[in-house]
Amino acid sequence: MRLVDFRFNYKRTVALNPGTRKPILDADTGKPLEVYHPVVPITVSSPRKKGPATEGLLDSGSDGIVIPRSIADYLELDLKPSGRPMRIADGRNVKRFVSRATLEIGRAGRYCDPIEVEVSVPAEGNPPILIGRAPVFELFVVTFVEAEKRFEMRPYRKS
Amino acid sequence: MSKSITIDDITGPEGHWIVVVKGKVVASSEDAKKMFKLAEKYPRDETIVTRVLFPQASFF
Repeated sequence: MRLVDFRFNYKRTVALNPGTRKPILDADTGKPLEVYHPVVPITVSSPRKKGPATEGLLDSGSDGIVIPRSIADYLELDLKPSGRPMRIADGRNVKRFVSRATLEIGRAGRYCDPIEVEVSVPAEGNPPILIGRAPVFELFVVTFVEAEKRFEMRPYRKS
Repeated sequence: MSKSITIDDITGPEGHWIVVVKGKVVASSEDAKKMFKLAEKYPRDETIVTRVLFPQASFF
């Protein structure tokens, strides 16, 4: 499998209040709140449909790949109920479905070979696409350079 | 809606999925399916659908 080295800056986001379309302000400084996230360029597809270029949030605290139900519906994934619920940030257990999808990582002409992956689809909520440990953190050595707001992904090679 | 953005720097309504074509935001919605479908109308190599993450949220 061909895997490529990547080095990306964290994505800077200035979020707007959906109602007023004005920036959400930092409670301490009164300035627009800027946040930085490690997101990786991806494409997710199914045997029936290929999604557009999109992005997933690298999340070492997540066991695997999570996609929202709306994207699973777009891709026409075959969803199977999972016996194991998904525990989310507020401590609740949420029912989930599982399916298989194809993940392509890369942008601007630098792409890895497509990877067949299991995806979890929570029955409720609207999460971002989460790129958890299996299998991406098994295939790459992922280094977060938080102080510089960047990360690197190097293909894992057994020493 | 036609604000210029770069791949590393976005502004948009929190929680929304946005369609970006040639660096311009052409649409946004909370509904990812709707935005993925809309993206089909634009050249694949010039279009990206991304999410405006919540600024004060943690993801697990």
